[in-house]
Amino acid sequence: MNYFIIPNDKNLNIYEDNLIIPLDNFSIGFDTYFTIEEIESISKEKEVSIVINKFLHKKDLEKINKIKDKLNNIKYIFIEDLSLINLLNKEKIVLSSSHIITNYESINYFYDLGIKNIVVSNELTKEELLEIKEKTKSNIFYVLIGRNTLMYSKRKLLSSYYEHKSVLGPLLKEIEESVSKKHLIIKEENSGTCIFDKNIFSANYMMSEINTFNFIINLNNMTNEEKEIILKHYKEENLSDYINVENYFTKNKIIYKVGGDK
Amino acid sequence: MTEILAPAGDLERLKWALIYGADAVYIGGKEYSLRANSKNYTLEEIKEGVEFAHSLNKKVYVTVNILLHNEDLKNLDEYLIALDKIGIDAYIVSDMAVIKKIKELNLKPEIHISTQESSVNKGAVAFWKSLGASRVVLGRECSKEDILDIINNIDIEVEMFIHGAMCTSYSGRCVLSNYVTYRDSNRGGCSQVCRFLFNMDNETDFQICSKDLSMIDYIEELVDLKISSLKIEGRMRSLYYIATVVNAYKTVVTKALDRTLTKETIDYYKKVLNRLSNRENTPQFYNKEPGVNEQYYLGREEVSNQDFLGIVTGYENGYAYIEQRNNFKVGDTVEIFGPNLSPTKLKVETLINIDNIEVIDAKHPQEKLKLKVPFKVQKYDIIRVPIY
Repeated sequence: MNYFIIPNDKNLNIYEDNLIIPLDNFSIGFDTYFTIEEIESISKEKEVSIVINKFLHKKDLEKINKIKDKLNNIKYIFIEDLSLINLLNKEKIVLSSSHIITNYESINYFYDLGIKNIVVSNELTKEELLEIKEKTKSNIFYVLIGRNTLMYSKRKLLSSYYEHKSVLGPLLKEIEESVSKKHLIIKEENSGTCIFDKNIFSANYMMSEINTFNFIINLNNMTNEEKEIILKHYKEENLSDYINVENYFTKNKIIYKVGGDK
Repeated sequence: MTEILAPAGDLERLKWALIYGADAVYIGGKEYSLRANSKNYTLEEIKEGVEFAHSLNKKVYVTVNILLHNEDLKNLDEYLIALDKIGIDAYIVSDMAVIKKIKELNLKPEIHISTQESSVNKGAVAFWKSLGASRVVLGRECSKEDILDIINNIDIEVEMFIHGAMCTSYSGRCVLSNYVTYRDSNRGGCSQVCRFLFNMDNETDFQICSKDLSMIDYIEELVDLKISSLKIEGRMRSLYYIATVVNAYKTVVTKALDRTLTKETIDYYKKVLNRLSNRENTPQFYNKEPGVNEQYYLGREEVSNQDFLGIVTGYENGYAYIEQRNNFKVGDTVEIFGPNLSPTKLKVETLINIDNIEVIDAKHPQEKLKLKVPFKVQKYDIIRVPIY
């Protein structure tokens, strides 16, 4: 099994495994971004992958067109926006559409189209993941550890709220849904807002069963203490002995028809 | 031709939407459709809806737009084939597995890419076209600049939402419902957590709820841009809501096409739409980045609208046969409008009940009455509180 780490700082020498680093201005939801110049420089020394996870509007696409030739030394490019499929080298592309890849037929269709690297959703059960493992030929990536992104909006949800209240406030906050008492992290950036689960997701307990997958360790939105523990134990099945983690959806099928057929 | 595309949560609403001027409706079956808690259609009902629509030379698109899990693949072929046999006009899809099946099975209906795919640029639209899609429903985050770039560069039908509720997130990129209420947003179970209240520090009023979308101020522009289809949101909305919104946009679009649209008409229909909805609306992303005025913060209660007074079921000898929906009485001024009737005010003078007795009010739910109307009305016309 291969491990890919998404760091939350620029001190890349401390990481032993493959790295995925977010491209500045084209990514959202991370703590640290890397300019194209920085990425070019890093990729001369070390094999890295990058992430471009924003939806690309007209101007973004024009800018990507201008820098795409600088991505030749990159190992993998993790993408959200499907426009990049016909713009970048397909062999480098890892399709990483949030929450969207949920069944083996979709994965196989992308494979037929030349997209052979793909990130599967974190809202799948272990049984679903095992069936995907069995019925696909693709190079599957899976976020093994991380604070899952639950929502990505183009809106500036925090600064609009502060403006409404006529106050100033930070663009990273913890919020609590008032009924369920579920804790979430909300983070606003120039291009929009993301909401993350406050719980740290980890599927380490079943890693031996999905060991043909590439595992992504996302250290963003973690405290230094959490990061330290994860970096020490991320290859261990018993990570939960060291840090509180959550993996509800790997064990429970989700309801989508409330009250049955109406 | 600029298509008005309306939601239709059940057969009754399908008929009303089409009669009120929709050129096409989108509906969901019992399976594979977002809005799993909408009434939705059996295959027999879809068949009846398609036959009705085709008899009017109009179209029916069926949403097969959930993101499928492995278990959902089991009966997919059978369902897609059944829809093909019924003769639906298009599948609205978002999952690649559904596109794959439609192509493998060589099915006839067109493929429309759902807004769930958040297609916001020409490259994404070109990708869908390369897979055989004939139409893409654009992401609601598209600006005018984005839309122009797509239309000017890709030869494909473009559909965009013009009215109704908005997701706070990019469509399809939200699983808040999954994590907060354990209901799968991308398989039709969305519990609209974006409308919930959140605690932040010691405040309890944090909300991420978007106001609704309304493009009525830009209809002339959209018609000139040659957007193929203008879509109204709301498969769970009432018959009254659908008839009123469709009627408003059909009127405005028709006038825009024949160059007779005036500011007075737009202002009138804005009043109609604003009164109909209990939520505020804005053009959202079309003309600028949404900010403080495009969101709600107050956790507002939504109140039901009492404007819908009744429906006309027939007309004879100066009397409309009506069915009551909300209370009104002799002496009230009401307004009647319909597919072939511009909104016309009427002072209620005579109401007669089923026993042929004059009554002073219509106060019983769904009561059948006769209302004296000095102008010709017809079945499917609607009586409402007047809009000034």
